[in-house]
Amino acid sequence: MRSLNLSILATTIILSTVSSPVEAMDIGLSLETGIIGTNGSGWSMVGGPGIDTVGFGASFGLNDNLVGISSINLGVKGAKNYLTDPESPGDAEGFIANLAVAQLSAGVRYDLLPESQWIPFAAARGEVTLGSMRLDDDLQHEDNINQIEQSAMSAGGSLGIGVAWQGTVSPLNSTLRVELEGGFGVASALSLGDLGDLNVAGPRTRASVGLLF
Amino acid sequence: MTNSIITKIGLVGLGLTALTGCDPWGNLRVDTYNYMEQGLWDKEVVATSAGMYVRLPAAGALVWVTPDGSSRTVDLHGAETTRLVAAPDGETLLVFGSYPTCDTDDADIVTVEDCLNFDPDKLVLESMVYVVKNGDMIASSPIAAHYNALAFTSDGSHAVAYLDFSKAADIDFNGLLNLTEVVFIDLQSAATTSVPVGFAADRILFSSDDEKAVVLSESKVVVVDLTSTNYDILVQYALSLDVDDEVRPQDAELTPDGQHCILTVEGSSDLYVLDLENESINIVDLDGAPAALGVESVGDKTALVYQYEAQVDLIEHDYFSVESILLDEPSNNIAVGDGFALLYNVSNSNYHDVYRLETTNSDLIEYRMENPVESLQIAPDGAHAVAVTRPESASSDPLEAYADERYGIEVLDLVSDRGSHISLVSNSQPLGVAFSKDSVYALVLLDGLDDLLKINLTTGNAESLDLVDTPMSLGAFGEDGFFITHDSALGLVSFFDPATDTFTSVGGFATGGLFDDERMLVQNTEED
Repeated sequence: MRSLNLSILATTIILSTVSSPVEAMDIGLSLETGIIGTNGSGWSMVGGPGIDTVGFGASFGLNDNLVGISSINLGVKGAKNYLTDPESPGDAEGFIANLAVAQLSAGVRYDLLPESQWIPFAAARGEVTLGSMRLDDDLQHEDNINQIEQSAMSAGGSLGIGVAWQGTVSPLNSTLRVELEGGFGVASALSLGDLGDLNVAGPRTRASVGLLF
Repeated sequence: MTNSIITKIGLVGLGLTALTGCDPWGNLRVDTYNYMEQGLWDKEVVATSAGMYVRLPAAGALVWVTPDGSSRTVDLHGAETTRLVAAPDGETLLVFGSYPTCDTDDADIVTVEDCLNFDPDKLVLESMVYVVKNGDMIASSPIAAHYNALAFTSDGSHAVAYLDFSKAADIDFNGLLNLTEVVFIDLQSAATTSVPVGFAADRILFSSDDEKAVVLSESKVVVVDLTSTNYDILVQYALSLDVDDEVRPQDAELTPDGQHCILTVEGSSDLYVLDLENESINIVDLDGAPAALGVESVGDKTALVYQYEAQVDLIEHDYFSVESILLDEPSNNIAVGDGFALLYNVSNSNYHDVYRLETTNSDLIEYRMENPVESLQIAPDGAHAVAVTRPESASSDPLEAYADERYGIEVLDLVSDRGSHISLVSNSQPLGVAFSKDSVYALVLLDGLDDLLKINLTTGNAESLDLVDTPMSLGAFGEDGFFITHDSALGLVSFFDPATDTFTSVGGFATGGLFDDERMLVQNTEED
């Protein structure tokens, strides 16, 4: 109970450094984290569905409601794959599949109540996802012949809705904006050549914290 | 334009590499573990004169791997392979497989998953046999799925598909199974012809001119004319006059002139001699049920050995008279060379003897191995043989005990009249033995050793050659080369050139279709 009270106190102090009402700003910079949803059984070899990402974004106001947005997010995930059939070559060591992605997006956001502190919004983005797959079946040897790398690109778009909280940060003469967003993306598969395709269409979630200047 | 895009993707790939660290291969992130039921590639590879075929069970594909370091998928029009068999011509591969179709006109159903969701009963797997040469499918034909074995004519022009009951677990069929037919396959066109030959045919022999096939089934032997368009039956032999008396052939060979078929019967001391030209059967009474037979062409005689009798019978091919020669120990296996037969015992017993029986003069030369024989191979020139021996109970003598507890390689001098041989003790189980074409040396792989041993057959000296990874198997490749498969999940084989002692390793071929999770249906057309 004591720690809960301290948390409430700390939150109150932080929020007291910013104040309402909010003013429309032209340019914003933010730090982001999110999940690129995926689908297909092939993802089990890379650590399951969804790619956790971190990145940063930028925005610029077009008018009171409409904002241009762009971002770059990076994510890495992988899995150690074991072969359960003892007759399979490499059953003892298996192989690692590791995927690094960079997702570039640009689009527009519509803020429903731009003058309020809590702002519902909708966003539409075009997305380009770049992926680099690495496979390795012998980590003990740096020069293993089976270090396989394949790059791929996917293009698509996403729609999302969310809610933002905004408050002025007095010392910086700027506005703090915190966002939570969920949506769905449709995109072409990451085509990894002979390795096959990984589908990056699926749910999108994103959280960000940034400043509006 | 395409190159430009690829270049840009590559640059971004490099950028991502930089983002994930200076040494991305040394720090690959692992979030979780995944367990796959199927291996990415089948270690039972098939080598032909120009390359190697490898099945990818998980992806359902077949890849063609060549010594220039390249590999590519063989286009089998959507079929998933189940079995590969190389023809004796060194070029042709027969592939058993099946492709999925969906019994519906709905154009929206294009994948196996679509069909399963629509109606699982509509999904049909069409069994096929494909003829593949140099990595390309050249012909295909439907075939019943249950055939699991093939026999080839020596010229590779025909094959016969039959059901090998010793691999009964592999039998795949729906509904009814016809066990009275075998299928003749023309390897030029892949055209198949079913021929009724009797119940449970499981042994096929071919005449030396490849014009006749002798098909052995239960209580029946059928001779088929391979020169006729419909594979006409020339003659049938009943091995029993009583339908209640089942006579199951165990081992069979044709005499060098192709006139007679000599066959042994399970559990019987009767040796059947079928005259294929004069349509008669002669039954030779033996001292017991033979364990193995071998036909030798220089002496024109057949050797027979017995599981428990320390005796070899030598039968000439004019009157089929039997000459019995006593041995010190029973032999249950025969390897035939030019002018001789090697007799050895691979039962789980304590027998150490190998005998060389000269078929022209019936001379018997005894070789005494350090340990019991596990397998034996004769070099191409017939001057040497290599026996792999297995551990046995240790002797009280320390020196003998050292050898007793270990595997061994024994090089037999087949020119010697004194049974001379070289014994090499191995610290692990030999995985494979192969000979150079000139028979100067043998190549040996040992379990757990990342080296290839090159043993001089005359001196017994072994040279060790470093391998790129842990080996699994060794085989002959091309004119005078070898291949080695390695214990590597993503696929790794090495081609060995003995002229230069160099290896060319090809890896990563098992990754084809690794991430594909949709299997496309194949549309049946007239052309298919």
